[in-house]
Amino acid sequence: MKEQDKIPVGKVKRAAKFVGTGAKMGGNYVKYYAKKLIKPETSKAELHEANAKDVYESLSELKGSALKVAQMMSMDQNVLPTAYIDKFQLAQYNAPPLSYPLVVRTFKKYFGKSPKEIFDTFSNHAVNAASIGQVHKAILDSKELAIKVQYPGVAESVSSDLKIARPIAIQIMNVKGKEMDVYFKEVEERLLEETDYILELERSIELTEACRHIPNLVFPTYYPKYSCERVLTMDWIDGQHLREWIKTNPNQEIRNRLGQALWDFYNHQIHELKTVHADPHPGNFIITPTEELAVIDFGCVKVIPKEFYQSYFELMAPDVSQNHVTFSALLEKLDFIRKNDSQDERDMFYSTFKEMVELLSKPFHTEIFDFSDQTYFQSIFSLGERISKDKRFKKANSARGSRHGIYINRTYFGLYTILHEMKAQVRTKVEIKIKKAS
Amino acid sequence: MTAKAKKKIKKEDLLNGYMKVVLQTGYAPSSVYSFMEDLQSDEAEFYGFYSSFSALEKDVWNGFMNETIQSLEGDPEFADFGSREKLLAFYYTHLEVLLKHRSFVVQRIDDCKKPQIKTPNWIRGYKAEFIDFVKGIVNEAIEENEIKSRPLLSEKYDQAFWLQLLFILDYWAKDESQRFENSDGVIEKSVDLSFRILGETAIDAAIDFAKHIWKSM
Repeated sequence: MKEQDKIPVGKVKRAAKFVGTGAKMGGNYVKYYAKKLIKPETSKAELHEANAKDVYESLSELKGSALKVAQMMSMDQNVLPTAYIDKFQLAQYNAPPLSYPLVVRTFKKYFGKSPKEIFDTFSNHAVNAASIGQVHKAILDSKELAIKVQYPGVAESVSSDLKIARPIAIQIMNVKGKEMDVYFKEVEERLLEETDYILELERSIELTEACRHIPNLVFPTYYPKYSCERVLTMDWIDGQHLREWIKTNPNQEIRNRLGQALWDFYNHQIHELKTVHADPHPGNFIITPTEELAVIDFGCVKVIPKEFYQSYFELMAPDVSQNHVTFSALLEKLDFIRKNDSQDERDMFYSTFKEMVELLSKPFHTEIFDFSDQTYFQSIFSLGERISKDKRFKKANSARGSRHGIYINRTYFGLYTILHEMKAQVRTKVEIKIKKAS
Repeated sequence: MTAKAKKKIKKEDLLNGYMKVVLQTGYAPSSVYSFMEDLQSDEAEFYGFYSSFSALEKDVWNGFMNETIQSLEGDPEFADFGSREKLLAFYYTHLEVLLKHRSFVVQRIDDCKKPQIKTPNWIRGYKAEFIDFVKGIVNEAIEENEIKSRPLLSEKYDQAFWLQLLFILDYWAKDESQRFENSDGVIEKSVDLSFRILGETAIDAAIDFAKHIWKSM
């Protein structure tokens, strides 16, 4: 296990965090059964609440105000999709490192040669952990390369791991299992895609080409010749990880410049390409010595269906929320309100989602949005809390929102969070172009 | 007797011919005579190399083991590996060697599991070769403090790794995953587990603790 020392501290800490949450949840069960012995009427709701609280707390510690955005962004009564996805992915970080002989075996299976025969140098030990593999550093023709090698059997284990996580997720979220299926399917699809390095290679090259024109943004070159289902080779990018860079306390001008690059990058993908890198995690960005933003991981990509795009961004359009008829039609289209909801439920969902949408789309309607604004994130947070404590929401007992929303919400959640961490002021308005429905 | 031109028989012809018969019929050839006739040669030629099929099969398996070890030792990196990496490299390389004869190996492993069959002779030689190799790794691991030397038990460590090899072979024979990836995972994890069990563990501390209480009570 000594190899795990090499994993960036951040990831280890995050993983440890979740182990702690698991222990706490166990404790909650013990408490629950102890209470039940003395006071048989102790309700399961108390237990769920305690569990959800602990998961929630550990998430909020992890990501600061991030989670609160997440909660909103997921437009559900619960954190579910984001928390669930993130939790699942963190579990992957716990995978032990591949031994060097296994790396050699992988190379021999796919390229017929050992890595030392292919490259001039090749690091025996992983220099970094990727979500489902690890990164080795190599040199070929005096060019530094980063080589991502995947753990064997990850693809096979995705489905079974999800099955294990499913009851836990359902329990935390307190929703009917059947309603979750559609979300689970979406998550499973994305995760399976992430295990396919050939697909990742194609998408990396495509998205890299399509976004190359954006200023202050750089991408590594990918090398199909040294890539396969289990190995992905790209340029080694020198620089600091985003979080490290923030710690160096860069000046506001650079914060804004790189924040803008990040915003433009996502904006272009969502609105022009309709295909988006759906994992804006700080670990996927590097600040180069020349102060450019490098994007290094295209594992998780969501293709946005046209219909969903239309309704979703119409919802976000200015003043739409003022028009009761249009707005409820859109909410229905996106599965936030359902035909068989009672009038009471309808009103409740309507007013809540309205408040949420107005809050979240605020940057879209602002010329220059200051993401360092604590009060903004605070108001998102308090709304989220209000919803999570609202008994009526709990009673509705169902998950809401289109399956496509999961990863789009996650993308915005990640983007807002990173920009908040960067304390960047970004021109957000001009970029948004919403086509009116025909 | 027909006046057929008799070929000069080489050792490899016998080994390959033998494996072919096993693969095609599921059994060892019925007699040395018929086997050699199929190879268009004389029975006497056979005895120049082996005294029986059992001796021949033993050589087949020793060959697998030798090929693995030779290829490891031919790799300049191997000498620099730690004991854990050496063992991993052994298993991976061994499966690479066996892959070329997978059908034969799988059939033989299945045969071993039939209750009416006694431990076949070939296993002995194969095992001896492996034990010889793994002993070196165990000693190295003890020197590196990767695993702990324990009175009486230490001498049995090599046997434990033999069981591990059998387990891996059995798993590989049944593995249905693409490119036998699951077997790679099993090797990785089982080697990690075995080194952890044989390394300094909580049980050592527990025994030590119990001894202290026992003495001081």
